[in-house]
Amino acid sequence: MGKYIAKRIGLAVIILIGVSLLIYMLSMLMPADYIDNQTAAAVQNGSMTLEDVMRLKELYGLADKSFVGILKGYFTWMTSALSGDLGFSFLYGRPVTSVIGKYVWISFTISLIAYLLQIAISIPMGIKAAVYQYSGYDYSVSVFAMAATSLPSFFLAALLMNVLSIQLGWFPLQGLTTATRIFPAGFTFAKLVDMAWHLVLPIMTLTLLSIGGLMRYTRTNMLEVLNSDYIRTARAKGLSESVVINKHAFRNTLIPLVTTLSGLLPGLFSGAMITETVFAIPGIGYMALRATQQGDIPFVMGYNMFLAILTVTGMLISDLMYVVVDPRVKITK
Amino acid sequence: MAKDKSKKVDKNKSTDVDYMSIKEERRISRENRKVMKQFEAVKNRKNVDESEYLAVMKDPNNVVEFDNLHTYFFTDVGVTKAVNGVSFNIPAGKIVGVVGESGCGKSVTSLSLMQLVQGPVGQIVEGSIRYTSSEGKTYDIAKMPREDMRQIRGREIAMIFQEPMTSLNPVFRIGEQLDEALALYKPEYSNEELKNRSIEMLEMVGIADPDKIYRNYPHELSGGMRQRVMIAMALICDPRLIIADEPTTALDVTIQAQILDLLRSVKDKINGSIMLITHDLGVIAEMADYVVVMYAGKVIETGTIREIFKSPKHPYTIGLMRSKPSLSTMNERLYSIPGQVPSPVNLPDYCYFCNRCDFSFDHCEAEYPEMTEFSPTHKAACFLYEERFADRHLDLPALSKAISSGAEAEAARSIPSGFVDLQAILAAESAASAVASESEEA
Repeated sequence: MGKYIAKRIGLAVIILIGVSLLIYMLSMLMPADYIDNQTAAAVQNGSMTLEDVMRLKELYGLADKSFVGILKGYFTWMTSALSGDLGFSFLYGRPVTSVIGKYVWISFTISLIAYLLQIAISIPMGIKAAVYQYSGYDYSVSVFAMAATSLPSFFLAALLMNVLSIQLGWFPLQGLTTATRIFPAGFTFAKLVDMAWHLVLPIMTLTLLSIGGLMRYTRTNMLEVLNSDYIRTARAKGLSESVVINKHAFRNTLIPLVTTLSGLLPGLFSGAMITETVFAIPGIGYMALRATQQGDIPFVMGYNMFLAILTVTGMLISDLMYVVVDPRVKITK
Repeated sequence: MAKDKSKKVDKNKSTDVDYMSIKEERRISRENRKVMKQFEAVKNRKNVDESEYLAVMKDPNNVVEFDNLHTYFFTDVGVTKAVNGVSFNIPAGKIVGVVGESGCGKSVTSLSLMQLVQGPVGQIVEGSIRYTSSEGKTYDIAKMPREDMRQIRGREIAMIFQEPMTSLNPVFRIGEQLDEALALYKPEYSNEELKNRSIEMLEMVGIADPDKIYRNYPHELSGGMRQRVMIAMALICDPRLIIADEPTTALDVTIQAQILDLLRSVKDKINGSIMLITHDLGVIAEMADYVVVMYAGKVIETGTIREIFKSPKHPYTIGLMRSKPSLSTMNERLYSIPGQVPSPVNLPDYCYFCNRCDFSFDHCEAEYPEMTEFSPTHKAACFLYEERFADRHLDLPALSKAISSGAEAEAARSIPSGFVDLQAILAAESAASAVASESEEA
């Protein structure tokens, strides 16, 4: 087991190096970099010359766009990244690690709550839909879930905002706190309630988006299990229908569910870029979108490496969970 | 309108592949839904008065009496008549073998007896299955609500399935799956008692290291071991009847013999009956007291093991016997019955076998034959033996025709003893009778 994990981590390091090199090259090759974006207006009205721009680029390390130049820049980034220094964000003017560290928690809170709600809603729904296959319940739940999943996130978010916020006025439209209220520094209960109030719509959006997929996944797996021979054996033993479904069938359905869902856990830190942007919530996704638009290479690198690490960890957790939930799977090497 | 259409489809059937119109398909699925809903509602009733499903046995010596059982599947292409009027009995303490080729309704008959037909698509539509419980009460299982049926499953009638590889739940230990079945039957048992009894059962079915197997997962055992575990699980509640649905089909030959021996010795121990479903005539010959031959959802011949093997009457039964590979007919091509089983969706209203039968005559396409009785136990559904056609001097099929030459009989005799080969024994017997009849003629 220990050996297997060590091997997987070694493999992950290789993957991460490849990923970082690719992302660095792609971001460097973007047609307009951070300096171009910032100085475009000044160059246009003549207050800055092209030499000034080149000097600035030199200063930011964006001047040399040749292959060797990019590689050189990559190794500089790499060496400092290995010592834990991801550099300064051009856009936010602070170390990348501190920006991530500050904004990741709000994203994590939103994603975690949405994740738990998604599990609590869609798994029982999927099981019930499978047990009463082709019933009215099955059809209506499937249609509802698929409709919610099929909508693009910005559209669903806009729809919810329009109905629940603008027309009914139940929830605030945007932001993390009410802009007109001033809260004392530090933690207060009133501030928490206000934040929770603002987070209802984003969490609802994320939950609705993910319910459909998980519900269909549960339903499909449950149906497969319900048609298997050992379920017939369980019935033939004289077990009650609830024991057959909740013990024998559910325990088998759990295998794919647990491995998929546990693989998603690290992803909770990655932020919901579009939803956070639509609701103007300063989460990590929102910050990353702005940084990408502006060509903030240190932040883009830092954020994407963070995502890559989360993905690799997620896959490792998912594979390890197989061993935990399925007695047939054993790690031998 | 709809009816006209369905008739049209019927007519086309014989000439080419028939394609269903969308309208037709919708009509079928709408009707199916309606029918299935009705049947499900009846099965799901709670607190039904016992008198509704009490019955009386025709013969008190029987454990189970199938009476005109119809089990249909309401599929999207139409109603599949998997079991279409099956009647036979399982006497107490006997082994009844049910034979027939794949898809003839053997398994569905046994699943109907357990009320395990995959619903809502599959439903018992007509007929009754009378069962006498250990308390002496006779129930009609076809009418029993699901809740009450649970009392019979496992503790009264137990089932051994065809696929030992997939019939055990892969995520629970063997011990847990055994204990669970027993706990239903003996709720007063403590965990320790459950475990002891389960281990005792494992030992009884010939598992060498029961303590270890008790803690194993199913995937850690071989197919033969798993089938033993299945048998132990079926026996743990002392059932009166064991349904063995092709218990040896998935196992290799050496294990097959062991499992059959085990089943036979187990039957004597619990003093119950076995309904043995198989398509292997060798297994039947070795195990059964009575044989039921099924074809396309109907029983076409029943009799004692001797009657069926020595003087099979129905051309299909004879075809089955001839298509069993045998050492004594080494040089010949293996016989196979020509043609195919008719589609269970559109069954003809005359004999289902007549298009494959070498002995069919004009009347075979007129109606479905009734059972003709040869002895109190031996019956076959074939016009060839009906009295009203006796004056026609029809050519009667006989098993001896296929395997009666003296050389073969000689070959059969020379097979080393201890090797069970039914064909050889039969060949020897029929050769002897052929000699006898020849001398009579002379």
